[in-house]
Amino acid sequence: MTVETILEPLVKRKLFNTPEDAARKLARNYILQQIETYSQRIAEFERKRGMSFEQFTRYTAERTAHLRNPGDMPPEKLQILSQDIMRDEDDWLDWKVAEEMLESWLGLEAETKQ
Amino acid sequence: MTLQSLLDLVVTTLRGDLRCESITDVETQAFSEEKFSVKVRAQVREELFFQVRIYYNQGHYDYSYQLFADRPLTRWDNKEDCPGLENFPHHRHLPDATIVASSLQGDPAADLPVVVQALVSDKFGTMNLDAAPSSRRRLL
Repeated sequence: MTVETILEPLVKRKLFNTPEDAARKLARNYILQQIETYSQRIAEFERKRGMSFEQFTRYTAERTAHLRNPGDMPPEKLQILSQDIMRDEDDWLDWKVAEEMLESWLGLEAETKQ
Repeated sequence: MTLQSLLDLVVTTLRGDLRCESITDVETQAFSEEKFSVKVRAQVREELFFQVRIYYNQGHYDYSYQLFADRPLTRWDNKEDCPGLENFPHHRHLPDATIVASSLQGDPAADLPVVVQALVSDKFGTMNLDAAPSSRRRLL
């Protein structure tokens, strides 16, 4: 089955002018969906954490440094801090992926505009 | 390594070597053959879970391997926030709240068996969740 055959029903119903027009618009729509997905994901992290990714990166590093040099922090508080840091780092990696994926899809969007 | 081969490696290791009861979540994201990520969560036994998170970007892997129950228990990762540790940035968060160097290399094919072996040796939660002595300084 060729690309033209696949797109023909859409062209036939005048949803698109030509198979090429359909392919271009569908591809673009796919890219925009990806951008929307990652933008939403990042917005959720920003809402949840009340800061930007760069700020969160610094925040997690500072908390880890504190855990490694806790002074006279009681053991039970150390445990809680350690668990919080593991949770934070889980979010951090998810957030990093979202940021970098968004950047890539935005780059592709710009590329396909040309 | 492709997204599919990475996913196959993770799932096979969790089902086979770690003998997980079930794979509960699988999430993949891909931009290209050079940029993709995998997150797999498996139930090791009742109320004990293991999560693998790997992000591949142009030859570099970010990873985390985390055992958790109702709270995180132990975690290997290479987030660059533990300078000064041997084999930086690879480190492990232990159940006793210490962070120690790990021998991982940032290559899932080499690292996953090491992590699984460590978990099996520690008998998962019977490392008593709080029992790992803080004097542990060997590469874990």
